[in-house]
Amino acid sequence: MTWRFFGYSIRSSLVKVFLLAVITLGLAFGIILVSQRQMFFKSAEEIAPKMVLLPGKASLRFKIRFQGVTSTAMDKKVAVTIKQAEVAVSGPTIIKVLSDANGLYLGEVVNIAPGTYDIYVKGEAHLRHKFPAVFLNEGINDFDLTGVVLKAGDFDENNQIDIRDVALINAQNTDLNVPITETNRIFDIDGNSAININDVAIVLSNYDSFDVKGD
Amino acid sequence: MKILATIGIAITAFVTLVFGVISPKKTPAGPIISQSAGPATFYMAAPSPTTRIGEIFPIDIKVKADGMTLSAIATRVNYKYESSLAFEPKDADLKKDGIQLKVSSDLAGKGWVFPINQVYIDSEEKLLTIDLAAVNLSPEGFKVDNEITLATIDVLVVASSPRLALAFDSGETKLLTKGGEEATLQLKDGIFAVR
Repeated sequence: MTWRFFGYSIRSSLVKVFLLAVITLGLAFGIILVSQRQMFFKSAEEIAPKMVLLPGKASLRFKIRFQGVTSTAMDKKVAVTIKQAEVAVSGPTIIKVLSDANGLYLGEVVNIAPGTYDIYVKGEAHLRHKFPAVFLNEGINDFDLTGVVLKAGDFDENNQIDIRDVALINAQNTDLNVPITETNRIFDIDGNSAININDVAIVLSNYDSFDVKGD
Repeated sequence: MKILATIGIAITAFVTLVFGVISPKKTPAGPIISQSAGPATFYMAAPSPTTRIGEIFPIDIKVKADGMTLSAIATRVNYKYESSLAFEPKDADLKKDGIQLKVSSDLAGKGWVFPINQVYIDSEEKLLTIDLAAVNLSPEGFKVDNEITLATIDVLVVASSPRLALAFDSGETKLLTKGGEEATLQLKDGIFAVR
């Protein structure tokens, strides 16, 4: 059987196999490159949310406190949901928050229509907290929300702390100090780059009933 | 033809390897508990199945989890009564608010803490509830040889009752291993009587 390829006639089986191999490998590497590119875009969105404030819109710049963190610590992610009359008008938006020297975290959500909102903030391993009746003017709005500490211990992201969460962090408690990795970092509650009994103790301090839930 | 087939297979293997090693892997959204350990059995035990008015009647909450290495246990026991409570639960720790169970000497000094230990009486709902959670903080967990007593509730029997049925709440009773696995459970309620 003769193949036609860009005007050339190909009869040799060896050449056919070679062509097939080149096409297959090209497709494979193409798919891989596209996959890597998509991953990069995804992480880029998380790390650098759209920071350009549009005219007529409001920006919520906030400072929050995570339980157990008292000095400079690793970056964290939070989910911010903005609601009016219990209806979400924005979010949950996942943003990265950065720690200052006192362990307070700074974050920003931009391009919200000015108005009064209930702001819900949830950490990756923390119960969601509602900050009610926050008024946002046009432009940048700075809010110090550190009067409330976000409670630690919700590892399975169901907005409650139960015995499963306790078991999840206790499963990490296998040595005096367990180094953190990308997969276990959410268990480092105090942000000291290790998982130890102190992190477990913080979670246990919140687990005082079978019904510990976030807002 | 054999050479061609070999080349084809080699190319296929190479592509498979490339996809397997380099391509991004899906990761779960968050840590999850797998339910693969066990089975373990929760049950209650008393010196005898019957008691008398005026007696202090100790009821043990026990777990049979032979060979398992434990990390955390939670249990809720409910007693639904009709007219009045046939017994008064005795407080094992007068320094704390509310009524506490007596935690087991099986577990004392072996890395266990009890973040939840409370007896509630809802006289409107006519419901007595025992909540208990125990967590083992030792890095290696707690290996069970056969069975353990978690805690004991001492009750003063104040009225006769043909049937005292203390039932485990299946939704709130959990046993988790050090590896983070949730055990499948058998729950055997405590059935007692006041003669």
